Amino acid sequence: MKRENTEKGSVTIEAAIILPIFCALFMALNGFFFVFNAQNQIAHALVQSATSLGMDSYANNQIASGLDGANGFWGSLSDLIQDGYRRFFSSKYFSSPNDWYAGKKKGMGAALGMGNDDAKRRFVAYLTGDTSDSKANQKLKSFGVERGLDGMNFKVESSGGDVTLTVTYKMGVWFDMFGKKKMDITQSAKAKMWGEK
Amino acid sequence: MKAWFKEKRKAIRHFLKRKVNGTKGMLSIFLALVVSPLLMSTFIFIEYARIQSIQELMKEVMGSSLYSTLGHYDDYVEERFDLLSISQKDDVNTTYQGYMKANMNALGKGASIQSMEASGQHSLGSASILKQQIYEASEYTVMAQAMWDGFDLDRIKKKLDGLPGMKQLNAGAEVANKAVGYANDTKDMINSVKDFQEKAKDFKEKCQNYKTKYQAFQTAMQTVESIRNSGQEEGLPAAEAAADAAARELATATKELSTSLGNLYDASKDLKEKMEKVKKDLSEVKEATKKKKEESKEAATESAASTGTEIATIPAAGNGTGTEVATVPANGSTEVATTGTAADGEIPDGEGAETIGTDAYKWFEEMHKATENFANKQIQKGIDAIVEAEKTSLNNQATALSSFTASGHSMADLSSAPLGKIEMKGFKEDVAKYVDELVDILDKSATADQDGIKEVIAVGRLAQKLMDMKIFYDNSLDSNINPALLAHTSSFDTSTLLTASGFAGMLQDAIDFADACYGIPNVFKMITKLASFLINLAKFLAGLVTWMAEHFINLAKFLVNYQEYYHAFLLYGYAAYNLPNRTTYKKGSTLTGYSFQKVFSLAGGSDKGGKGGAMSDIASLGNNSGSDPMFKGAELEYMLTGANSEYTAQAGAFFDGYMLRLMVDCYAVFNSDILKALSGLGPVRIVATVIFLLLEPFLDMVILVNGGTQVLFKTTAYLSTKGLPHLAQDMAGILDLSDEQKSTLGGMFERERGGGSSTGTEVAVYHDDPAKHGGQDGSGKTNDKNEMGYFPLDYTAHGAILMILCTPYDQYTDRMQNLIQLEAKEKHKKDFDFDINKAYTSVHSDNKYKLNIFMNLSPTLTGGFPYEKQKDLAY
Repeated sequence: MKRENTEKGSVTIEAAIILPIFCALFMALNGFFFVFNAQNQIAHALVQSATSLGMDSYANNQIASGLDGANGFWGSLSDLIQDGYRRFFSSKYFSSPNDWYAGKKKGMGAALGMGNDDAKRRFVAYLTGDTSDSKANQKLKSFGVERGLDGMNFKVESSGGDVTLTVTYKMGVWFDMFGKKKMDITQSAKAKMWGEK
Repeated sequence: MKAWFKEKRKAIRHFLKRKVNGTKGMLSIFLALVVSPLLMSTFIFIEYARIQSIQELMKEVMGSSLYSTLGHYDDYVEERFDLLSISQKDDVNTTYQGYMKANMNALGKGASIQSMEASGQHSLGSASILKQQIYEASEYTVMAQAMWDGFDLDRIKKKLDGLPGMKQLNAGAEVANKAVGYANDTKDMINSVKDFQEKAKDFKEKCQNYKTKYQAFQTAMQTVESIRNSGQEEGLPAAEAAADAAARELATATKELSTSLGNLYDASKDLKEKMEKVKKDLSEVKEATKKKKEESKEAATESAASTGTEIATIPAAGNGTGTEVATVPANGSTEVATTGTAADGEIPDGEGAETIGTDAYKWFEEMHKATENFANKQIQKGIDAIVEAEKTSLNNQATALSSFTASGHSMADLSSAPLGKIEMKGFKEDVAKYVDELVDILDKSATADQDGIKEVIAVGRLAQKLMDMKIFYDNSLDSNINPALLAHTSSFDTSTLLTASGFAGMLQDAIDFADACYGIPNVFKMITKLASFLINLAKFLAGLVTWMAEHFINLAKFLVNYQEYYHAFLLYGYAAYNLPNRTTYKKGSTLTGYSFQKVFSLAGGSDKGGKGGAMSDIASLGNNSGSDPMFKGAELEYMLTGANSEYTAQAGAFFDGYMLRLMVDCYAVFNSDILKALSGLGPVRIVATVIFLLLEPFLDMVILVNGGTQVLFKTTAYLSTKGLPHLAQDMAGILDLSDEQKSTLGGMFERERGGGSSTGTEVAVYHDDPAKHGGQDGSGKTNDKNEMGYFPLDYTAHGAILMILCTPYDQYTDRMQNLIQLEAKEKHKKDFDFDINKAYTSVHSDNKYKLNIFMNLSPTLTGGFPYEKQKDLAY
């Protein structure tokens, strides 16, 4: 039997082999780019959040009222008004009236573990430039952060007059061809707590 | 063309079939040739984006680390002074590196640090940096406090602009200076009167002697004549000898009379000359008065034409209703006596606003008039010829009598010259009587109101006692600073204190003059005392004006540059409200709530209680240095004076305040109704004026340093009918006065007050426990007007104004830096040696880092991308 045109379909086969490799390469590259981008954006929010958290102590020391757990019950009237305004009318995403840094003995906020929540809110604020948890959640999910904002674990440590904000999360690449396990990522930033020794 | 393409296509196909084995591997080749570069480009773009992103992140990390480094601020400087500088306890570079290393975690492995270094810069030791921080610190606090205190900056500035006090004092100094010359001329005239009086007495004696001797000579000649007529020759030689002797005695008397006449004539000439001089002086005064009056009229016209000048809102003295009138009395700035409505050419009556010279000139004129009247009556026209003729006759007679022999003359010879009796026609023989009358008039010319003089003397003595009170400093604030600890050499010119010590002498001179006018008056003594008093007064006022011109250097700046005023207010208000002074150091606190008591404790202060330093002690106060590390509470006073001794600083500040008060009180003092009522005292009223002028600001300061308030612009003086009850009330609780002195204070000038009492029920705002920089009446009210005047302000607020007026910017920043240096050094002495020149307000960082590559595309890129970046951050 005469074999005719034995090269028929070779291009198809070649394409079937080589094109997925190229595509995978492109997509993997793109996936890494997304990871870097996400990490950098989270790093930005983290550094800004830590710096901002460091100012809480200064603001709270300047505005010492009875509403503030770490200070005397009654501060001056002007402080009370300012603190009341901050506490009840202003956004808590960019500053916190709680003395979360002051230790359990001193601050109600710290005793209730409010520092981590404050840190989370601060992170949301600096990540989105807004005070929307849903936006942050959406953004983080788009980065590939597992469970979005809920998947971010914030930890605030205040010692030696410094605040260290650590965030841990799991993140997958955009194109996970082999179902690779999500990456565990930890990022942290440290800043001075103004006014704290 | 189509055929050409067909042919070529055929050729390619033929080539491929023959050489490339059909289309096998075409796709791989295609991808290798086309997609690989594309992939490479994608790599590059991704890497570029990553690098850019990390670059930005590096900036953020550096910024955050710098920010954290700045967070290590000096908490004492921040809490105490409301200023931010990096703590010197930690090394800036180490702190910065710590944060940088920690924060690099956030970047993952994107970048690695190669080297980094940070250093502080722009310390508080730099005047411009300090000023900038002070502006920021005081932008809201000082303005808010100023509003709370009732400072209306615009109005205060405008009132300072039009303050008449400086002009009044300047005019007073000029007048006093001229008056010294006039007083000396008048004294010379009185001297001549006295001389003339002596010569007139002598003349009278000589006239009487001449008459007696002539009578004896005549009698002797009659005896000779009768013997001759009787023909009895034996008695003739004896009678002729007696007549010869009488002739010799008469010759002597005649010579003496001639000399006396000559002397009297010379004295009259001298008196006339001196009178002319005084007359010329008075003419000058009148001319000046006329000129000033015309100028005042023109100024008044211009003033009326202009609209809304603030100076026009000072209420007329004594109206007490606070009604703002449209004019300020022209006398506010006049020299001699431009106040009254007298006709041209006359020294007008004052209306209670006389300047120093008015009363003196009036007295001089009165004395001149009396002397002139006397001269017109007793020294007749053409007296020169008459006296000359009389002297010739007397001399001829004396010559004739010297060689006179009775044997050769008869009685008939005595009826004509040269032996005839000479009658004095030029000067009356009893001219001495009229001179005595003149001297009596002159003696009484100063004043006939002995009770009034007594009253003025009593007030003068009370003023002396008040001014001798120990009030100049708080005994507890007694630091003598160790100059080695200062950032800038501090100096204090003690000459100003010496000027202050001259007040007591000035007061004594005034009382001496009044004393000379009291009891049995002696015009010569009075005029001598007045001249001496005026000399000192002129010196004092001139010194005062010079002092003001030198010290109130900022005033002119503000008047020219309106914006400057607000900057200065922020700067100086910061010191006034953030630093303790003698009245606040115990109870007060800064705008940031820092208690001044902490300063006192930090400095090791102990409450000694009481006050010290009387006027007589001032001259001995010097810029004494010592070993103290910081001030204890008189820091505002240090800012004002720069003295290393806290006592001296307080005394100097008291004096500064006194000067300010003197300037702002002038208007009220010159318009005191009591001073007007004393017009009957004549020149003695000068004493009252000076006492009032010296005492009023002193009383103000006494009340201020005891925690009271004073209106900045007085319209009603304490030493006025309306003011005295306020004075008694304000002083009662704060002075260690005896009951007698208190009674004297309350009963001063009862006569002039007509037994009346103040019609006002409003009292000067005073509180013995002033709220911490709160409302001036302790209630937070900002009423800027009360019965006494405008802007009731406490000692602190006066300190702020004084600093604005007296302390140049460079001295201000030097002294402020010294204070920060002293306090912070003392506070931190256990931890580190504070140096204001290392109290940095900014951090500069130099960083070298490497951006690590993601994919090693080329062996040459193994080192990554190195970068260098500098960044600065400041408070």
